[in-house]
Amino acid sequence: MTPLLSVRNLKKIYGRGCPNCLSSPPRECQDNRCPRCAAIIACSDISFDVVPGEVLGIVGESGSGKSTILNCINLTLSATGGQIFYGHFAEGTRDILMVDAQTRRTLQNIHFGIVYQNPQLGLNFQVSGEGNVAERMLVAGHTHFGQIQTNVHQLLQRVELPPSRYKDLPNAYSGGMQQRVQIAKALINEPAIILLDEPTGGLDVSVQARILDLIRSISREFKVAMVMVSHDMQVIRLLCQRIIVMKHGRIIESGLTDRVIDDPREAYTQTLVHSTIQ
Amino acid sequence: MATHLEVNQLTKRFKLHILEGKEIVAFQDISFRIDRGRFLGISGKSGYGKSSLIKCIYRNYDITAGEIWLHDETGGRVDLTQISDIEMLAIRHRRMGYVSQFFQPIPRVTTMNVVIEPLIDKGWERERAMVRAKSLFQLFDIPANLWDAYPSTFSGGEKQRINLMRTLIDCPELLLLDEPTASLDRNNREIILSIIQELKRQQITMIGIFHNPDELALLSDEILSLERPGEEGNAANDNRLATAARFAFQVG
Repeated sequence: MTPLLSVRNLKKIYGRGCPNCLSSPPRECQDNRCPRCAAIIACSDISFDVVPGEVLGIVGESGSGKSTILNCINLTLSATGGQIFYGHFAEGTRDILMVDAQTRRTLQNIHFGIVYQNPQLGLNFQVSGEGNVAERMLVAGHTHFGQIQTNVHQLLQRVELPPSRYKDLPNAYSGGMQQRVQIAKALINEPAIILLDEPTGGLDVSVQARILDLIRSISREFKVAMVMVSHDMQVIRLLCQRIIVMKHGRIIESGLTDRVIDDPREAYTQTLVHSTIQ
Repeated sequence: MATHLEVNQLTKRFKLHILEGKEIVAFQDISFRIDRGRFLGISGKSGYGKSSLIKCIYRNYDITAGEIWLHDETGGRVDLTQISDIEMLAIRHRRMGYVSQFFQPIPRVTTMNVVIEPLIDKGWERERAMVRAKSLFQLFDIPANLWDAYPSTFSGGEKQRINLMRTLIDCPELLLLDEPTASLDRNNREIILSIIQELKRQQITMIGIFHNPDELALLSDEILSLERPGEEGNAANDNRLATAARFAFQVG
């Protein structure tokens, strides 16, 4: 199957870097820090594909580089090296890390959607919930007010935001509602792929369960591919067909979700699985 | 007859990093071949690697060494140990079914939706998928009041039947069965056995583990008998027996 997204040797370094840590793979590095120049290696040598409609999980402890990957794909963070190809842009032949600012905004606004754990990052708190979603349609070039309103209300209904709350400002929403609006915002322009960064982190379990059910049904209904970051193996088991396990900014293991959970290969993966699955 | 699955010198070892890299041999150097439409029974004592073997074929476990060739009807073949995860998912969806020993219900998904999900994922209309599910429910004797309930609350036997239905609804050409009758009462066991015999008539190739020797003999065209995986495993077993004997003596 032709990949929708191909990430090749993605690297993100905080600091100037030196030949030691800029090499692939970084030499002499036991963890996230280059022993020669003390630069932080947020991620290095990251390569993977996402095929249309699949849900790919990225797991690993805090600081292992999971969110860095999502932000590099979404072009909100500029990568130090590597390439990313996206099937709906130049038929997957041009590296999206090299595009100009205008193309970058088009990719961010129309082709990708992102849902953050922290709604402060994903929502504009100065405008209402429906305004947040409508804004995305405006930047995508829609001008017909009635059409925008119809689409936004349809989607907000689908993500189960109570209609009486459409016009409220995001700070008046519960954590679960904020995530629902973020999900609607990510989906409104019908992107082929959405990126989810711990979308249920910090929510209580019953709200978490309902948001997960929503994400699960949306991935099927909208046939949208997802890359989902989580440290919760139960969440990953429920949603993802394949997963990538990260440690110290590098991929240490990848595989079918049930394979990684039932037969983890690496020491860290074994610890992760045995500490979270009863 | 045409070969359907061919396994060459398959070995599975687990390396347990948390136990200082201790290695456990699940099975070693297993080879067999199964023709299209035949039933291969797997026998062997508990701990001899029967389930592990099936899991390796389905890539629920990684293999340590060996080849697993899946043949198609046009003479082509593919080594399941060499293909990508994406390709393996496609084979799981289109050509292979696996019924595990334990059913893991998907939280908050109803019986009906659990069973029709494989068809929905393939793009079937919901109504059409439900018609097929309903005929399976009848065959498997699942009463209508359970269709819209969550399987997590069901009895072991009901869960096991739902597990089977979810796999069978999509008519896989190769079916891997890990003790599908283990938690069933006699009536339900007979239903499952007759369904498996019907699948045999439909030329579905099957590899199955059954603890009951009568069931194994009834269904199998051939039987693969697994031996103990290595001296190490046997020593541990003897050790365990010795411990049990000592314990019994102390209690007495």
